[in-house]
Amino acid sequence: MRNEKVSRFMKIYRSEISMLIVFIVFCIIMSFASPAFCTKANILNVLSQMSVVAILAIGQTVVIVSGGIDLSVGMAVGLSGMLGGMYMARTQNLAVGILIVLGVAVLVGLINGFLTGYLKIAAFIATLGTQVICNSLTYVCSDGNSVSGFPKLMDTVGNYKLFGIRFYIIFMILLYVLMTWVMSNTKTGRFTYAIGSNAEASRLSGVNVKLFTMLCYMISGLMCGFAALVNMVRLMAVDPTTGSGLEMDAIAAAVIGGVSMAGGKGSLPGTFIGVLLYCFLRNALNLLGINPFWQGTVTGVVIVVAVLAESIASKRNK
Amino acid sequence: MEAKKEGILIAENIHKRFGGTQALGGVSFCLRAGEVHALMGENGAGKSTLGKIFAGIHQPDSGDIYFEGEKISVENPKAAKGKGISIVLQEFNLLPDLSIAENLILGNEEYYRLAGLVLDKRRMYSHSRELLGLFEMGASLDVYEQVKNLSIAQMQILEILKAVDADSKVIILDEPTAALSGNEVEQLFAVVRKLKSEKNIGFIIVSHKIEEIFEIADRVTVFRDGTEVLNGHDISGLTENDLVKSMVGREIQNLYGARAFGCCAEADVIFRAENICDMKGRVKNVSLQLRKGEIVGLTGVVGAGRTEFARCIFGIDKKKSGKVFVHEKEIKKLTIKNAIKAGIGFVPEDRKYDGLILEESIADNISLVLQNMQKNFMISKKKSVQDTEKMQKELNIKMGRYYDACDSLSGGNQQKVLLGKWMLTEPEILIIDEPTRGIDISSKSEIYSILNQLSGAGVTVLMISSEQPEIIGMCDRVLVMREGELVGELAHDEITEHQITKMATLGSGGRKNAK
Repeated sequence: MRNEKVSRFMKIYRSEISMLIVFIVFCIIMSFASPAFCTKANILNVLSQMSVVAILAIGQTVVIVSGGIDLSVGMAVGLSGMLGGMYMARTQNLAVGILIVLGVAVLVGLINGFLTGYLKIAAFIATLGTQVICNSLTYVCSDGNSVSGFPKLMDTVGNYKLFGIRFYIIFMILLYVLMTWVMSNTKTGRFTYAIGSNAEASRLSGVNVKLFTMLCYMISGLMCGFAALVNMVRLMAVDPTTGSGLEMDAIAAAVIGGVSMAGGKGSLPGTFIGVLLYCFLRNALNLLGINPFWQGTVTGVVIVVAVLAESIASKRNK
Repeated sequence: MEAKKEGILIAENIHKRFGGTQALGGVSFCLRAGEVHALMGENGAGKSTLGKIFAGIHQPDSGDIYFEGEKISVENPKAAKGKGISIVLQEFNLLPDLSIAENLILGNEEYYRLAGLVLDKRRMYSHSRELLGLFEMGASLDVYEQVKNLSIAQMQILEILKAVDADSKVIILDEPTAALSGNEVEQLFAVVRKLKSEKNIGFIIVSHKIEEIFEIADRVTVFRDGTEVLNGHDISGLTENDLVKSMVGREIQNLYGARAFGCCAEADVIFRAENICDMKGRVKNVSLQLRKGEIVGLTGVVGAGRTEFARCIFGIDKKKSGKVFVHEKEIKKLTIKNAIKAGIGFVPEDRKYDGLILEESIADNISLVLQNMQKNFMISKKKSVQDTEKMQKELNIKMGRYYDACDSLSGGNQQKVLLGKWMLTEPEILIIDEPTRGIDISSKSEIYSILNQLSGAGVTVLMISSEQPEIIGMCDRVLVMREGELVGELAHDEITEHQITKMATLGSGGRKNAK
């Protein structure tokens, strides 16, 4: 019975386990290569830096598993943060400000979901469109200026240290725990996988494919809102360029973590390992003093190799 | 060594294991040049596996393969093709957006270069026409036509021509007629016969359709559970019963079970469709009613609108007009979910694309509909596993673990999973489209007995089928459609293949308009 459980676990989480092993090996090598790597300060620093991307990668994973892609996440972080930030700076009302951030981000997700789920526009194009619109609106609203002067409470709570760990890092980890549970124990999660694997068979089984597709993009939107809040807490300011390029980081991290671009395959624990690997790799390159111009080449190679290894492994497994 | 010269392609003592299952346990096989050799057996008997080993798709664990008297090893499909062994799989290897000619020369473009650079299109087209001219039906085809516009039989023949063009001496056809209608099968067989006699090509036909084997094959080899039970026997000395017996390992007395036909003629009307028209004009004013516990056949030639009608009444496709009643209560807003709620189940024809999610686990597949219908937002994995075990027992599904992917199952067992998924919803009306397409005789007989059991328990079955024996063997009455219209109805004792064909093609001969 116990063996059975182990073998099931190994079968279902094969790619996650192999990525975890890669990550551990990487950490062991790095801790020899650089004494600064395996210190509490460095680890907390990287966790803090990665929290925004990590939260975005949750939404990205959900959307990619459903068979889509969300290119708008970076700019949605910018727009929602900017609107909420401007409101907060003016009124010092934290609660309403947070609602504005989350509301705007979910609205962007809702539009994405409506375009892809109901109007059947290719996800790549639809979210590319909203990406450009969000970016433009951010500049329109801010007139190109950055905003700061948020309520003091935001700093106090957001940056509160629990056992030396900042609150938003704990928040990020809690989001992973919660969403992992959602993905495997609720209808939304189950149908996300079903739709991503075979939308037509899901539809013929009575699943409301349009609705659940839209829900995936709304989850991604909600994550954008959380990411925008974390970003505001970290910097206590919002700049119109905030969020640019984050969507690619989120996609890369998800893919390294074993999420298949074809849909239907991947998990949030896998994505979390992907984010860890992606962000600690960048950190390692800095610690090793690699020329920043070359760092992109290295991370790019890692992304491609990770996907290649995964595809070879899954072929062999068949 | 003597024996090895007798055939063009010989396998000796082949073993092949996939994970925990022994697909082939030491089989031998011998194909002669210029013969059609049927390789038969139930799903999972290993017949496809051997075909794929010949074609280099799988590697044997042990055993020898001889081709034209020489021992060979085929590491991959390309090596096999280079030696002259081609396979035509059920899933075609054609590029739908390219033309017939482009598909025919695919991979051989280098022979059609002008000055080593540009594609010599004139030569490409003339060569393609030559190839198409090899058989009657091909001469009328346009080499510029996009492959996606061809019928499945035409695609199949195109695949065979590709193999011929590669100078194949052996062509393996894997379930070639699974998706073909009667007339198309004839066309395909004509091509096979012609190539066999004119080019001396040896054909291996992997199949479990017994009637066809008698029509086309010279010799037959039967596998059961990975070993051969009949080896290269001349077809002329055999009867259908012999073949069934050797494939199944026992005699199947009555494939369709013993059904008391017409027992539900007085039962309550449970389902009624009134003047259904679909949006595309493929279903015209179809009305029918079904009684509790009946098994009703719905037949007609391909394209008669049977599936389209079923999709309309199940809410998959929008209907233009018409009403659907269950227990005399109209389903006002006809969506799939409402249809399920009203007690209708729908087992689609194409289990691989419409029915099941092949990459997902058996348990996830079986519980998908129920999970969707439940009010609770949380999903119980325990229930899903219990449901799976329940259906496994009830339907005798041969499977590994509940978390294994559905594509690890044989066709017959996939069909049972698909049936189980709908049986879990305890439907009152089960629409089942081509219930036994592409599955072996044992599974067929099991599916028929499940349908009979369901009917005995008061479930109404609407069975869409192109296979007339199955309609005759199973249905209390049959409705015939032609060009979108319901053209007639036959009671069980009136059903004959002749009657059905007459109505399906001429639209007359039975009682006009079903009640």
